[in-house]
Amino acid sequence: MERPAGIFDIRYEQDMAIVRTNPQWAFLIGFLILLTVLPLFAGSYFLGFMILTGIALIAVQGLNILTGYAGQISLGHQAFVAVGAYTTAVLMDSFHWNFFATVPLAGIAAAAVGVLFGLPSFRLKMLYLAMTTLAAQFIIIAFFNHAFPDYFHSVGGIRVNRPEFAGINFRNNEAFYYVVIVIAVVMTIIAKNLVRCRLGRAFVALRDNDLASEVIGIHVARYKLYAFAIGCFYAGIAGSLWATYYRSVNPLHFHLDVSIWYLGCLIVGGMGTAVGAVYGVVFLRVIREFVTFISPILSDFVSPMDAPKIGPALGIISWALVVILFLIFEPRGLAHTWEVLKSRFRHWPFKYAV
Amino acid sequence: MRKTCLVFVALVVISLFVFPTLGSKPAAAKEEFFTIYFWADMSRVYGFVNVPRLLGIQDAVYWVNKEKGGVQGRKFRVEWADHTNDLAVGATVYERWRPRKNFIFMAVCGSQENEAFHDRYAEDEVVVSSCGVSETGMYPAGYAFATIPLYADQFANFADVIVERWDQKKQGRGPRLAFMTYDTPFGKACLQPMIMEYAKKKGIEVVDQQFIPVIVVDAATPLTRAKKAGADFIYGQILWQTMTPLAKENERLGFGLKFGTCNFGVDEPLPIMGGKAAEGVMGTTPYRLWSETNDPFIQLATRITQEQGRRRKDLLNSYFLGWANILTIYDLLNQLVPKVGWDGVNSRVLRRQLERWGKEYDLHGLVKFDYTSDSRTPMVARLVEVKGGQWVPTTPYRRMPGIIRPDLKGPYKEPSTPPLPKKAY
Repeated sequence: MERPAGIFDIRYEQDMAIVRTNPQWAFLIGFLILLTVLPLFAGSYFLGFMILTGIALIAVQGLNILTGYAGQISLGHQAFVAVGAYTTAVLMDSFHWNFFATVPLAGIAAAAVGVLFGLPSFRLKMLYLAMTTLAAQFIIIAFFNHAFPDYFHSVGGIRVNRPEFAGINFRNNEAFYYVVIVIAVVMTIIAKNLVRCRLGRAFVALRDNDLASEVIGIHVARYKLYAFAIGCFYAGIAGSLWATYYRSVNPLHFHLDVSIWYLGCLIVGGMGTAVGAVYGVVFLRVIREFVTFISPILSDFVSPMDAPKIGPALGIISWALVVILFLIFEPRGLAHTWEVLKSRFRHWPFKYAV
Repeated sequence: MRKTCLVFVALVVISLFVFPTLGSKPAAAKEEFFTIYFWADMSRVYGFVNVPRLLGIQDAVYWVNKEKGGVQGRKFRVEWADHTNDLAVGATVYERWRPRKNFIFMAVCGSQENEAFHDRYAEDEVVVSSCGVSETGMYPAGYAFATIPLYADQFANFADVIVERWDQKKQGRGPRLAFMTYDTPFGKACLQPMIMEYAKKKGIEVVDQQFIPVIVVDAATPLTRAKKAGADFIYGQILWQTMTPLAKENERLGFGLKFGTCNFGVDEPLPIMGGKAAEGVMGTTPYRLWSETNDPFIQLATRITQEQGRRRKDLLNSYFLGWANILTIYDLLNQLVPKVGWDGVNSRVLRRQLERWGKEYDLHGLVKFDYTSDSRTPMVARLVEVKGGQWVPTTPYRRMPGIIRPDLKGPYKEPSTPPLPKKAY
């Protein structure tokens, strides 16, 4: 990463720091304050948007660790979200657990299932591995649909109550927003740090060349499973929040489209960067919201029979178009674009550093 | 540093404009309108139901506004959104509408969203007129009211008729039934334990259960399996797209199986696409049929569709579900506004009035609803059958048993808190 001229690292702590300059600190603190005070002036709709963005962000951060860093393609990430959601739902519904106690367990359950479906990664790579994770998407959802009907209630699904804790009722979006945002921020910080440690560097080595990484002493199989476990742990936490936000889980909620959408977020935001996941999720969610706003307006200009088709057509086309354009013109995603913009800004009026 | 400061100031200025806009509460609708919200999947799995339904809503609104001059001095208008069968999209649309004071009546279709939002409808006090009738989507009684009977009741209606028609003496046994349905909440709604109990009670032997896809490529295999199991009848929550190849293959193989389905399978394309093979397919519906050309409501609907330039192929039976949504709120407002005035209309009042409709409330001759303190679904329907290339009623309106899980029964318990500050405009 480039830094403004005249800023030097003279201690190891400075070299390792994520936030290095005073303006960066100011932006970060300002951003966190903004997140904190947002419910004071934002409407319920915007808070709902933020909650869903936060939940998606946690899931995509997990996918980023698994796919972006460790190079293990997953097409079934939403199924691991389902494992987390069902864990929370069953623990709350059948065993009357407190929601906050179920959250880590949801992550652990998803991690365990993730490890199970990560086993084929010992022998499979790339497209073949993608197919096994795709199988996870179908197997896990079918499991919830058919197994243990007394607990999972099959297609009827499970109703989940939003928690009450220390006299605070998290039923309204204002309160639940804080739960999601705090977890999302913490998980993002952990994701950012995770890849700077030994484990993360091993993931990157695996992604870049697993044979070479084995030669330098990385236990490939073990680290692949770590990647699955951590990536799916994130998905499980997202699932736990998902269940509580929607107050219901049902096998139909966790379809393949969402798994693909998560991958799209990674492509648009930039694989292999923690902030890329943030940019990708926010960008694609904004597009999605924009489409739901604009489609009823545009539908006034076409025949009534075609009117309902405008929204979905726009939604699918805009999503696909954005992903394709990013793959062609900016495969490193918005995170890289942001770095380029910063660099241009710093070097202006020069085109590049001299 | 100077550049950084300039950018920071620019961001602050932009934020001052952007965030208050995001946070602002939407303004109330203009006074002369009553807004009906419609929120459904119109493009994915349930698009085939909800697009014609939107046409029905639009045509009913056209009829109310143009021919009736509106309702109690106001015109209807519809705000709709397609949630693309994605709960995340649905939730943000719902959150966008929820703070609006005029968000008191919404048309919905889909068991999935009803199950997810069932409690929130009551908390947010929004009356929902819905055709997604899974048990847990509609019950315990709350703010959601169904426009079609529970699927369990629809099966019961079918079961009653086949038992009545069955010649026990000649056959020496009871009718044998195989379930063939989708592996979805909608499809599996006919596989509940209470349905199996009902079938057993009626002397029907259930010999097989199979899941089939909506688009059946190989109809011979499931039909052969059902036939080998000894089935006389096939029942499933299946649509005309699925029923057509099944019926055709049944005819080709000479199995002689009889088919039954729910109201969503009772649709116009089946007799057309299935031809002779579709003859005898049965279904339950509480609605009038397009073939009943002498019925005053069908005559009205036919005239309106002509005025609106609708294509015949777009007018599937779910078109009437849209009419039912609009006629529901039309009747409600006509009953309430003269008594309490527009200022007195809120969701709680609407819900109470719906509960007063009682048993077999006739909605303009289109359908009869059973809305009471503990009932949220129509309880009378007819068994209809494909005969002579069209759907025709084969029984009069019959009362269904009301098959609901005991733990879901009971009246809605209204909270003691004052109603939410909502207005009908």
